[in-house]
Amino acid sequence: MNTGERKPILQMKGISKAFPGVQALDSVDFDLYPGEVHVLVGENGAGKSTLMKILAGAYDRDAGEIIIDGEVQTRWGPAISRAKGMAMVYQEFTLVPYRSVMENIFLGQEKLRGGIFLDRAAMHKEAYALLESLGVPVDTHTPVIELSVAQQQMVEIAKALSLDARILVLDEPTSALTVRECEQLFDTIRRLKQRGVGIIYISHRLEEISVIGDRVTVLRDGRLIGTRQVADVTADEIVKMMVGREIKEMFPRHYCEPGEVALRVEGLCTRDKLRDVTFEVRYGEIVGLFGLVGAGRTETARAIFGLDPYTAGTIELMGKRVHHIDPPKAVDMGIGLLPENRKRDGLFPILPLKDNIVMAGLRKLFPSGILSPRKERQKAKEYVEKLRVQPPDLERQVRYFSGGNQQKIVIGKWLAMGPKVLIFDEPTRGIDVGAKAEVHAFMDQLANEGNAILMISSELPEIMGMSDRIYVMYDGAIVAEFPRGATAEEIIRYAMGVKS
Amino acid sequence: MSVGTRKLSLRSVLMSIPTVVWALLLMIIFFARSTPAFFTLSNALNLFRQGSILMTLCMGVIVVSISGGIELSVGAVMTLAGMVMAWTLVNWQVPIPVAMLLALVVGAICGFLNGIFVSKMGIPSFIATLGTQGMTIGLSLVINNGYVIWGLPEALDRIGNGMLFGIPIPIWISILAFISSFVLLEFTPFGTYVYAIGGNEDALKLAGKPTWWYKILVYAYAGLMSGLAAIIITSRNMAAQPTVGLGMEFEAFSAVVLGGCFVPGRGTVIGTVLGVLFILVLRNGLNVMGIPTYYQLAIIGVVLISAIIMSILVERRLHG
Repeated sequence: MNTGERKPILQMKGISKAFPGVQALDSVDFDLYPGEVHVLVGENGAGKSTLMKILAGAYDRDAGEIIIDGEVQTRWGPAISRAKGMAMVYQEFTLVPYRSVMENIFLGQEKLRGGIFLDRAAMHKEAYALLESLGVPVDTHTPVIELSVAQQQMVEIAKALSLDARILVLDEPTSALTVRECEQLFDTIRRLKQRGVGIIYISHRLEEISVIGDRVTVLRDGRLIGTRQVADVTADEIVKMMVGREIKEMFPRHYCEPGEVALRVEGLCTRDKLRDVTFEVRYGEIVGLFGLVGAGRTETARAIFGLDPYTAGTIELMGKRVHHIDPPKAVDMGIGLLPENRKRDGLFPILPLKDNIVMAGLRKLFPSGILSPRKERQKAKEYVEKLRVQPPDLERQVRYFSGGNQQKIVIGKWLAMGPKVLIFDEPTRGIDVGAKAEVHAFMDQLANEGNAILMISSELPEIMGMSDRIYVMYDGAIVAEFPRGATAEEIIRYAMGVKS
Repeated sequence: MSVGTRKLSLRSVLMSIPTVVWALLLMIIFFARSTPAFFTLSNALNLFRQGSILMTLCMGVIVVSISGGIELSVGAVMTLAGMVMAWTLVNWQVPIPVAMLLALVVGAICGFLNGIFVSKMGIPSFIATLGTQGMTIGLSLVINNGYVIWGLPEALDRIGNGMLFGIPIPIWISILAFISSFVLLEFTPFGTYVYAIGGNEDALKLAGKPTWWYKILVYAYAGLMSGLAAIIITSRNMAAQPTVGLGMEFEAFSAVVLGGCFVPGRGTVIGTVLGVLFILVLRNGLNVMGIPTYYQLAIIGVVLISAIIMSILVERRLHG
């Protein structure tokens, strides 16, 4: 790609953005030329989406310039961003499920006849032409819910292009696609390049960079690490740029000799995600399950806990095969799941602290079925002290606690049931550094007390710092197992599906 | 690819024929065979004339249902609009067209308020419209101390009980309501937005549209239809009764659900017409068979739940 002689359509200079407690972006530069695919990579939390949200006008920047076609933009917002030709295809689709492809493409910008009535014929024709030019001749009368994920994505792209987009942002566009569908998407991207559309391509999959990218920019911890021509850089170099950070003393893992196998999963498959997942967790062990977004980690946890059905495979708990599992049974058998989205799945935000802690363990605590408020408080107090929840106010509604303390409350809630096997799904996502270290210390203590812990995380330092063993997932399957001490490069290479 | 697409389309065609069509046909055959009086012209006309009120109400309710809301105030709003219409006719001797317009305005205002509660204040539609139901019933009773308003001008009778081209005028009014909702939902951007609000409101927001305003309009439209129904019922009865709309919400809701709108963002006007016909035929048939009203309500409830179970099963089969 010869970018030297062309003028960039987009330049972002010195963009900074802080959120309470985090510098999400620190003076980041980014530019884009027409007809170019500029790949943006970085670990979770590196600042990719913040940068794109600033570009889309969804966030205001603290500092920096946005320059379109050489002109510094003094005003910026969602509407201006759109008017300047910015279009974004989000990871979660913004389609109306039961309406036709055509209606979705033209939603909000319908063509009219006589000023009042929809000109369906014209819109169908144009929608079809648009899709055909993308290489996906779909019947525009079909409700989008009947399309494959890849086709739905094409509809999203067509929707963006119907606005005459010149800058198209694709956020993890292949995370839900099969290999063949990816090929189709790449074909479309090549067509768009020929038309002079500039594409910002966010991806976690390294092997895609060389297939589709022209340049690649790496962000880490909100800083620009570098921008390179794809032709001049190897996958290993990109990984190094992404990871190169020292792991601090945040991970107080004291190894102890593991005991018996507590949980054993063999050949687990689900209908649309997991393929032949096999692993085991022993008592006294912290096992890390690493993988990128969409790799199937959460799905694994859900299947084990009985939230989603599995189509094949076996689950063994303490050496006994489990034939059917649902959440109440899982709890009875001593499995605890700390969900990824703790606000939605793990807590009752408007109930007080004490109710949240005793909630899941009520039956164990009060076998007679009659509650004793005194005993309830006593039990809640025990865990609040153990976990050092701040402030230790039993009557305070959970929604008023900080993220770190909420996570501690979720942990307390499960501990109150006395589980032996604990699944932590992203245990420290979105909580501050201090609380993080506390949660880690607590996990260490739990393991050393003889509990089996499966820790799902997409934060590599956490996985490497806390796990006794590490499994890596990619595309619904476990692709590697590492002992403690594996290097970040090794782990991330497997997680990104780079074949060695 | 093209073969796969066609197969899917066939599925969607199958899916788009609501269970209610088959149920309706079966029921007509059943009543026709068991009761000779059922399958007569006079009974049919009677059925449609009575049904014009429910039909008109449903033409408003379906729009709210598609947008993902639940409208429980249509019967009560109709009652209030009818009371206002009759009261002004009797006490102020306003001209009939003015009184009719007033009924429409009262309906639209009540609907608009519903819309503001739901859209601007974020009250769940179920609660907002239930509240409006209470308020409007109360007002209807207050207007004439709970008494029926009699003595409406003779000329009004020509609307409620007159004919045009051999068809009763109430039926014409309900046809007007049908055309209005059909055109609105099928042929205007507004209709597309109503479906989008029910299906994925964020999609419409991201397209830069003021969804809150469309939501208000949805409820205002339902209110307008209640006003239209008020004109029919008041002129037919030649009286306004403060309890006349009681239970109409239940029937309207049932008809819309039976017509295939039990998931936000789905449902059609045609389906709703079928749902209304189903309720009408069921009621009428049970009447002709001599089954008491009390049982009829219970039967409609049972039918409603069974129909939804059937639809869910069919859906599962098609998507599974």
